Amino acid sequence: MFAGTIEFVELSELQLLRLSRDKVLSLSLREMKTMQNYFQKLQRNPTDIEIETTAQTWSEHCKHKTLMSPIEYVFECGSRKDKTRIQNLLKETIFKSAQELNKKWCLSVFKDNAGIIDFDGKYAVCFKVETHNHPSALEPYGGAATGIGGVIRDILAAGLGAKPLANTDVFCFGDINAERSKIPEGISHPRRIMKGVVSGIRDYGNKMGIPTVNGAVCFDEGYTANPLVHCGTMGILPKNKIEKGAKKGDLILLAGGRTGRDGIHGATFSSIQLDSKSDVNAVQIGSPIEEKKLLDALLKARDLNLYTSLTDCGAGGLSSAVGELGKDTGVKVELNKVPLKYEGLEPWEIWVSEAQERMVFSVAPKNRNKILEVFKAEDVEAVFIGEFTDDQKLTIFYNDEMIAELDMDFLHEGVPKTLKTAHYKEPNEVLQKSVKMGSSALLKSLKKVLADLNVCSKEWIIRQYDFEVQGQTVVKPLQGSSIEDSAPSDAAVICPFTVVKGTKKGIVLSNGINPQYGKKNIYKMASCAVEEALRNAAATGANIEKTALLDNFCWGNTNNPEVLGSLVRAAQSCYEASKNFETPFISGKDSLHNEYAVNSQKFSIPPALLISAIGVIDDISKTLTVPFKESGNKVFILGLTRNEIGGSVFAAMQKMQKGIVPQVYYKESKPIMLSLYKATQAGILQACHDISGGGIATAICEMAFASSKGVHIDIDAVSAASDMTPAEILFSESNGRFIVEVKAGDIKKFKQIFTNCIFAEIGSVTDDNKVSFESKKNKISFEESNEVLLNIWRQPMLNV
Amino acid sequence: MYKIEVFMKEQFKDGKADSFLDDLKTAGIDGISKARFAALYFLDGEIAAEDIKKAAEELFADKITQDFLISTTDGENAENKDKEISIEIQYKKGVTDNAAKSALKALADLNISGNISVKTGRKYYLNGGISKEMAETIAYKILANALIEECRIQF
Repeated sequence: MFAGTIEFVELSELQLLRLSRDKVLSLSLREMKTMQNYFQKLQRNPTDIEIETTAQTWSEHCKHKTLMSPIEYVFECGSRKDKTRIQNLLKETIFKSAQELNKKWCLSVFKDNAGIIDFDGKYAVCFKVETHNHPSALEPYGGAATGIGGVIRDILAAGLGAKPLANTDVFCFGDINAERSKIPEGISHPRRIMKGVVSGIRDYGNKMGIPTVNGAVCFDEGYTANPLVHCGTMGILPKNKIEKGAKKGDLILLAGGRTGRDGIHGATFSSIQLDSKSDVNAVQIGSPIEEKKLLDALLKARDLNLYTSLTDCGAGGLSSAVGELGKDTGVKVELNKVPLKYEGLEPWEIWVSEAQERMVFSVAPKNRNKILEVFKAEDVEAVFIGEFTDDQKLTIFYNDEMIAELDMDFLHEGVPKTLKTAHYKEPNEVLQKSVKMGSSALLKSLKKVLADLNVCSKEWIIRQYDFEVQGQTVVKPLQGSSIEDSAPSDAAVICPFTVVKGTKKGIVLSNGINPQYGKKNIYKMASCAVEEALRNAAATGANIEKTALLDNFCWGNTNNPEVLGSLVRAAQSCYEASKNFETPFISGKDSLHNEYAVNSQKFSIPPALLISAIGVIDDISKTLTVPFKESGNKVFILGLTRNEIGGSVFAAMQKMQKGIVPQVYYKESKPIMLSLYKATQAGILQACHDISGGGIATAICEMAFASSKGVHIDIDAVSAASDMTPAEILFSESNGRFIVEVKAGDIKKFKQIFTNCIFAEIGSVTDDNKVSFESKKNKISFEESNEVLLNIWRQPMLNV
Repeated sequence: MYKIEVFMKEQFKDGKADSFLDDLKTAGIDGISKARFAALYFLDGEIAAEDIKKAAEELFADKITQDFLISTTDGENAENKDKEISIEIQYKKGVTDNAAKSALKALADLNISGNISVKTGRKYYLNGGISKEMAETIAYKILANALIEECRIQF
């Protein structure tokens, strides 16, 4: 009855391990033995497709084994050592805060392809951010393109299908100015990787007609061999199209691109180390034209209620998609019906291929012909390949021959949980020696900070993206008084008026990420990322009480207890930040084996946590932008400046090892963000910018050179927590701070709104087109023209 | 098999070639004074010579900004008069070629159909004194990704 079985039930432990390695299954001995046990009970050998399906379903990529498995966690702080048992890290941290906060406006949390929140009572918005690191390391262009293509399909498969409104992208690359001789053999130069990745996102996003509106780029040597590519998509759908589910008797429809050998083993491959001999088949090629047609057909079919559920074919291909849809029912698949790009594919290859632009639908038999017509009208190939049953089994046929029969329960619940050990030692931070600088040294430092890759203008990237298509981008990624004068925006705002006719509401998208903090203190890095994402949203006018979060953990090899320990600590920090700000996590993704071997030396990436935020605002006319607006207006700083130079851009520049990493003070930050929203609604703020990398000095410069207005700042007026030098005040990266511009006539009202917050008037907007800083106390005074500062900031990435 | 090469006309900016020269500069590779880029289309199967010309004129080349050259493959390149080095890049077998798929559709719209196969590629013509080893470095480190593409270097 079973064609193509392989010797399995009799294999020794050594042979099992060899099989796992030879077939790129990425399964441990314990997992192989669990599978062997299952087939021993069935008293038969498995087929290759059964082994592949199990490996793929149990892959780290699909099952999140690390985050869901029990962990023995040792937390060490000074002489104290606490040992705890974590049963399920995700459920005890990220999920838990969402459950405990229990916000009514969160409509779908961690169960669908994307997190979904309420928009206006009738519509909902969804947001998902994915990583595509391994494919992008191998083939930057194709990897990034299929990354954005994949996350767009996640949005198409959110609920019964959402219309994508905007894309986001956040990258981590090695030093793009590194000498070629310093790049390990077999690895592309970071500059080449960056160019490839950016053009991949550009060519896919632009051709799909979806604006790319928000992002960030971090540079660090640690990402030379293993770049990080995060792609996000936000979409909108009617609220009554959120619930979905395949029923017994429904047919399985496969629509979109044809199936080839592309990306075979992508799901299991993402759990192994990269080396220069990695498999070519793991590279997928994307086709935005195909996906655009699929999008159009899908939304039409959704509005005609022609299907009961859907999912995209991502990692793991049909195996993952069909398995997921039929998890609670059972499915019967006829693999020979799958349209192929070329002949010669083995059935198991068809089943796990990660060929792009494919989606799977469950369709009631009565709609069989209608849905085919819809797809045909858009020139999308669509074929029925099987049906949903009620036997809780996955059954696969090829040319009428049964080639697989697996219990859904074994597939989805059978993966053995392995106890992992994690160890975390709280770092000891020491305050640096007081940083004393004279006026000219301060100006020189400011210029160096502005030219730092992590601070400088990313205009070269942003302008390659179409951030205007669909005509709904209200707050854009670049802002300024002319094309040449541009500052980065803190967040993007989209008004979906083409979908929700006449709406004034908007959707705010922002992000926070800073791997540099993580090198010193992972706990603070995580809370800083949450705070930064919220701060960026708040600086644009978002109400953080209606803002949700997404997490993306990119970590090294978590089989190393120290690496896993830092992951546990970061997840706990996320929980605390989420609870304190009362902003729930609604979706997330992890990529946990970012390690690369060159000449048997192992490189692990610096851990990176990307937090993305999505918020709904009531009135898009009440949003804020970065550039100063009018000379004579007063400049205020909100929040307290602490001596927190650790992990900062300034510290890296000065090669300072010591310094306190910025901490999040929830009791200060949250009231400021809430008051900021009130002030925005009252219309008394002219401009607003959050203070992050590069400190006050950088924030002030960005606000000035984007406006062609000057500004004079009194350093002594900044509210500082301790006795700090001008350099420390200007470059500290303390959280919870904003620079705002207020008209003289609004100051009374402003002070009333911020009565419970720390704030200070620190200067005024001038019309002399110069940025000047002064500290009478320290006899410091320096200034520079906007033009000079702008050019220094633009230069490093002007022509890549 | 026919090969259609599509170039920018002399008076227009050859963006792909310029960006390639920039890449050479950042990689610290000297010796190339000029470069030209050509998009390649390989057509094979039941297709008449006049249809090849029609496809090149109507579909592959833009009449205002671009010129094209048709040759049967494997022959020496007719234009190779300035001792140019050329690097031709094609997808490896089995790698999805989306542009070729679109080309087939567009050919059908031009009423050119039948049993035709299309492959796409790209070609860089370089002027300058470089070694064969350097040409190979340029091909694989700057232009192509050896994982999915293969290069033919004519020296």
